[in-house]
Amino acid sequence: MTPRIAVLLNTLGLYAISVVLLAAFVFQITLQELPCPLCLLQRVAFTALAVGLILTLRYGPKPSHYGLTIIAALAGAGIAGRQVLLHIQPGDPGFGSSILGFHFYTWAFIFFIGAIAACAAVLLFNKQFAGRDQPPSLGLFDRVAVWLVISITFVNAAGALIECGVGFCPANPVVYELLHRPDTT
Amino acid sequence: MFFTGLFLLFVATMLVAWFGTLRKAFMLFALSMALTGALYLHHATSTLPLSF
Repeated sequence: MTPRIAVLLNTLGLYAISVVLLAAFVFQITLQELPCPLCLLQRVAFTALAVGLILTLRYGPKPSHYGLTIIAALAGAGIAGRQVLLHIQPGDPGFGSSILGFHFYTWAFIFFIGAIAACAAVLLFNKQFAGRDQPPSLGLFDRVAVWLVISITFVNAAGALIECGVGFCPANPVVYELLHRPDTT
Repeated sequence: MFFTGLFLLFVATMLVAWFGTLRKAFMLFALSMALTGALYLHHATSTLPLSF
């Protein structure tokens, strides 16, 4: 695997993270389901996945960049796994809607495990780490991927502020705290 | 507020990864992950319905 192919795979990874975060946001708005704190933490873990990929685009492929991605994916899998276990008992309806038979946190768990497996697979190819220490030459496709994921993370920051307000997020949020005006009558 | 701060910290980490130095990006990543862990411990209080 050449460094260029490794960079391309990292770029595609950034687009995949952007799609996941965007889909979560679209479902949140269209289904009018507010994400719980553990759901928000999974989104945070998705953004954490992007850091290692951005470093690869900036500095070229390095094992340490994949290490960061694996650490973020392990954290994400741990958070999603806990939510799966919370609702694992038969008869438990789970939290929120499901898509294609699985709840969002189950899909998140699968995605994080997939990210770990993908990193392990890419790390098998030593040729990407050999040679020049120069940063890779990037095209528009690569740069857009970086700015897309940064922008979506920023939108998530705004969304979390509207949902949680200025305090801790409630365990089972039902209203957007910043938009909610309590009855004064 | 805390989630907003965490997302913004990751935005900063990504911007440093893109524009800044490798060392600073790694340090910010470590700080962000530590705060993620702290927020997780604050929220993960329900008892799991499991028995081994």
